Amino acid sequence: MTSTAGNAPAIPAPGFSDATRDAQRAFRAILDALSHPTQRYPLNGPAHPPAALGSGLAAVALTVLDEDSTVWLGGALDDREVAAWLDFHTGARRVGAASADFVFAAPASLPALGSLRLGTDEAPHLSTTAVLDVRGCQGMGSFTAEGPGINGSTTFNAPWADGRFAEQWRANTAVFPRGVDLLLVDADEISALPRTTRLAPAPTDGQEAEQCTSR
Amino acid sequence: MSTALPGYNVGYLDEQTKRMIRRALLKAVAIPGFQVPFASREVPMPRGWGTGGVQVTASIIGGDDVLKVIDQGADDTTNAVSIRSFFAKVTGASTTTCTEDATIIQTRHRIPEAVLREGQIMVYQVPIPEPLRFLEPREAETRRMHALEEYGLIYVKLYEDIAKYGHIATTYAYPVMVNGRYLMDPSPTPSFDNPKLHQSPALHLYGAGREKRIYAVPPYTDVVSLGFEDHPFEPQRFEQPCAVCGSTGVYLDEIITDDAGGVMYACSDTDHCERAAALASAHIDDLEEARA
Repeated sequence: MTSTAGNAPAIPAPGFSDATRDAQRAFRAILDALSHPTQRYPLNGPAHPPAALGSGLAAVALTVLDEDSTVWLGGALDDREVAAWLDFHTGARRVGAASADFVFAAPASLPALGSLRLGTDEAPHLSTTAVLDVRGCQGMGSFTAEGPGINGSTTFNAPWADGRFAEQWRANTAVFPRGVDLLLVDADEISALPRTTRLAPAPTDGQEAEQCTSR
Repeated sequence: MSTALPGYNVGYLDEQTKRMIRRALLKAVAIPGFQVPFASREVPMPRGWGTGGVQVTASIIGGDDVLKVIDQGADDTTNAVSIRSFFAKVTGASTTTCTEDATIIQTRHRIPEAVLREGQIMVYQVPIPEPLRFLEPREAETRRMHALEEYGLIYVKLYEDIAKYGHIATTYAYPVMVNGRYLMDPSPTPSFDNPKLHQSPALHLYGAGREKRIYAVPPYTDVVSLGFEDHPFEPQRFEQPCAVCGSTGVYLDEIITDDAGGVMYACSDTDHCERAAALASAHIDDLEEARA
């Protein structure tokens, strides 16, 4: 058996152990997260995902991606093992970040939100969903969040948010109904920021948001 | 572990169809009130019998869900019973008639009397998703009107009601503004139920199978029924209590009792009515016991 895929194994690791039920559970976690922005929901992925992807991102990929969708992989996620695994399990076409339905990236490799597909006024649903890998982020970012799905307002810790995020997100909410939706995926948890969530820097320690340094 | 009907995928729909509907649902939740197009599939019932709601439910339901299905307010009508048993067969999910026990409630078109809680999902079977459709038949034009937030026409319609009848005569499918941006048809729910949508803790998903649209109202979202300063929105009111359980402040069905004009009014929400009646008779039993 020969492999031309470098470090990618000839046979990709398995996906969900129960494709139907596991995808349903993962989808409900994503739906819950988008319906209740900033709240965290448990997310169970496949047992042996590609190392760079991890269980959480793998669960999201298996749940939302297929031949009808396009994806862009950023930074460390853009490796051969991940690509081969996604090709095998989802068939999603890989395209440039500016035209992808789904963008998978770590905070450092996420393109500016305004450069992603925002949809149009007539078809705002044709916008990118950015799936952010927030594993191991240690920043101090903290916001007060309000908008649909949030009862009043809530404090939202965003250790992954770098200095440019607050302004980018403000611009993203300002173009509503156009805009990018953000899924924040940890190893086994998911939270989300739909384009309707308004963020204001939390009036706490007065700390500048630190860049996520994990990768 | 739940067992589903052999020969069918769990949830009836194939996985790719579910993913397509799920992607539409996620965008619908992110853009409250906006109608997301989707590739509506055939399900084992005719279009117009709730195929949109069935496809939404099939895409979200899992083995640990508890499903309630109501037709108007009733759990025991043909459509409600068959959809409930359909999902029991193809998903293995358990079913209930009790509003509080349900995690997913599929409906045409009432919202139950019991207050919904966070975590519950309402799924509506929608016949005509476009609130402007009878004012502007062209789809390309209504899309542009939504894009431009050009909603003058709907106010003219409500104004014409006032000019003709002295009040806004729309009693169902009463138009609402969602999150201050999108005009939305709350499906033909009676206007009595409109206030329940405003800042509701539950998630509301709307599926229109024939018209191939999905839209949503997330929890804790402003849903304002349209009105004028001098003619504000007024939900329907009922003067009399339910003839069966005695509840007041609930939506009542008119039931013709003879051919001499006799009528009675009873709860449309059968689950609410049964439990209110049981509570009332238990109370009477208690009183009689105390007297004895």
